[in-house]
Amino acid sequence: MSAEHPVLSVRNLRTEFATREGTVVPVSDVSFDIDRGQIFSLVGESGSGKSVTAMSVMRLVRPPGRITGGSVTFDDTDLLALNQREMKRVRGSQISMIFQDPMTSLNPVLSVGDQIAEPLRAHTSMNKKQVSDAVVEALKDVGIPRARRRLEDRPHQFSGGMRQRVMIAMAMINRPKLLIADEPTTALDVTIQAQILDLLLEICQQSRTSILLITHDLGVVANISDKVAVMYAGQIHETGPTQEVMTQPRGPYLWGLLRSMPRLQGTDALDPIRGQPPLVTEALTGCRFAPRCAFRAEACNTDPPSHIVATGHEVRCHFAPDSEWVRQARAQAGLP
Amino acid sequence: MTRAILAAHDLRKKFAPRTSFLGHGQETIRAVDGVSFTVGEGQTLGLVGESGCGKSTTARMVMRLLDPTSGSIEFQGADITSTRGKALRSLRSDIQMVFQDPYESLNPRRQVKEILAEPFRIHRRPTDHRMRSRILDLLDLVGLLPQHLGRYPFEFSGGQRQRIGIARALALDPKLLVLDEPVSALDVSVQAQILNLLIGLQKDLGLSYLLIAHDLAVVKHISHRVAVMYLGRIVENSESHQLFDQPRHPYTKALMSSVPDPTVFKSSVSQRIRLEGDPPSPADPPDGCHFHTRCWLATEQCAAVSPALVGDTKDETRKVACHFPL
Repeated sequence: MSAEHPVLSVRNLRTEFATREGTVVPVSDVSFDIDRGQIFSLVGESGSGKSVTAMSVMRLVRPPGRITGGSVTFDDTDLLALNQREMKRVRGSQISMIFQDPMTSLNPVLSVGDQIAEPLRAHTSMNKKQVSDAVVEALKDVGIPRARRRLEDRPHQFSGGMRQRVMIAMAMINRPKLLIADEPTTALDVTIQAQILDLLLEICQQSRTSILLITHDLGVVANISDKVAVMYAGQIHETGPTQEVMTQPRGPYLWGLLRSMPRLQGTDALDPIRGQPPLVTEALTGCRFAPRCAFRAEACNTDPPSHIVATGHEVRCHFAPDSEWVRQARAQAGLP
Repeated sequence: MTRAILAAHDLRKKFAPRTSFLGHGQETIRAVDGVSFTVGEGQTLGLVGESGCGKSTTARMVMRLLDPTSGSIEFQGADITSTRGKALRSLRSDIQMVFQDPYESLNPRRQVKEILAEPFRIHRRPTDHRMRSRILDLLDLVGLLPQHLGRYPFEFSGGQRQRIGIARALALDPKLLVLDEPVSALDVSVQAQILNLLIGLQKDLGLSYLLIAHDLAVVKHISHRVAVMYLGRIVENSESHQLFDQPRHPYTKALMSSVPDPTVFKSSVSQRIRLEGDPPSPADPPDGCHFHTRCWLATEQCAAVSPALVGDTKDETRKVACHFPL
């Protein structure tokens, strides 16, 4: 038990999209907590609902999408109860967000200095000089050399990695309590990705900002996060402390994902998960992973509850508690 | 050593400066700056590097979609650098390409059977029952079903679309496939399915692959040999296991060290080698070794003299372009 309240507490979140073919439910029954100064990864494949979860927390889901259930508590405030004006005051000051592609999230015709200053102008009453000093400071903090001389530059004059630094400077300028980073390094080369991950770690340690990191890369998850939640078809399939969950997966989905990943270390043959994820409609019943699961049984036709298998380690699988399937899986893979 | 099916000799590609109507000239870009390699028959050469290193330009020259500024390309012992007309058409049925994005490389308005029939039509092969039975064989090869023939690309998932792309590339019995980032648009569980498919096809059909990719783990998984590119040049070229077990060029080592490893956790992650800054622009590459501006071992010699890609004194197949190999 931590003494502090979690910064963000999501309970039984449900988000639906009404389409012509029926209701799609990209997020159903998602719950998690993020503590102060913690990096929390939400990992999953395309369509698993990780980005829609983040957009729901920010209240940025647009029609035909709608949040239809659950609660999102940020620092003792119920975000789902706020009106649009109140929510605007939270965004960009207490919670901010960065995206995958910094080129499309920056305005190409405005100078970088003006864009970073925008959250300050919107949320504070600083004068011109104070704003400009704060912007220079923010650019220095994210490692942009000769910051003062780059204020008038446009986004295209920066490299991909530098643009992502600019985005981070903008997101951090009001010292938010929570930074939501949606695939922040996916568009970058690996050597640049390593720089940006270092920067996120540093921010988290120095300003005690919590980070909700949305990613598809289990390597990134392992390297920088404290806690992880693995999403599948709109639900959290497995969650817990990162090192414990990744080294001792107890759900067959995460097990399968790890066995599907080519690695630099070791020469294991790849053992892919069969088939592909389902379309998440209301009609889904039973365990959502069952159709692809190599260990499925009769029981999987009913919805599995979330089982606690170790401190903070929860798995949505009927067989997580006795883990007989884990022994089977290890035997099949020729592991001790 | 196996016989080479493809050999590139000192390939170069310069993109000429474009002058805008305001009269601003741009620098000449040396996208590929003297690249040589061979692809062994029935083997995979992985060409790996970050954006802008010239790997895709190299692939396009091999495909004869771009003419090299200088250098030559040999396919099955014959010089194909300036093959034209009919000979080029027949060459194209021997060298086929699989693209990165299976969402954009299939015509959305054609059914699968039309997509797979197109190579036969373009290459004026018989389009009778022989083609139809060949198309059914192709579907089977890539793990699709006969009932998929009448469907459109949008009815398939990304992985299935990539299977269609591979079937199309195999239609004319090619000998060499150029795979341009074949799995980078796919989710990890599906990516593994496609990698296993490619490995199986190579074994069954004796295909050779030139694989272009940025993901080192993918490259390691399916390549026999690996060439690492940086800013238009190959910096290291070795047997895959040697290169990954014991990288000799500092850039290879840094690249490997940057890949997030799912078994390395927050507490121990700081032991990585970190490269600072961005790669220089190919319009204005540094003198000497292109990597010296970011290399932690660089000396004055590295800034002045460009190191040649040479074989190890003990092992000629292990090539590195560095004055001070690791």
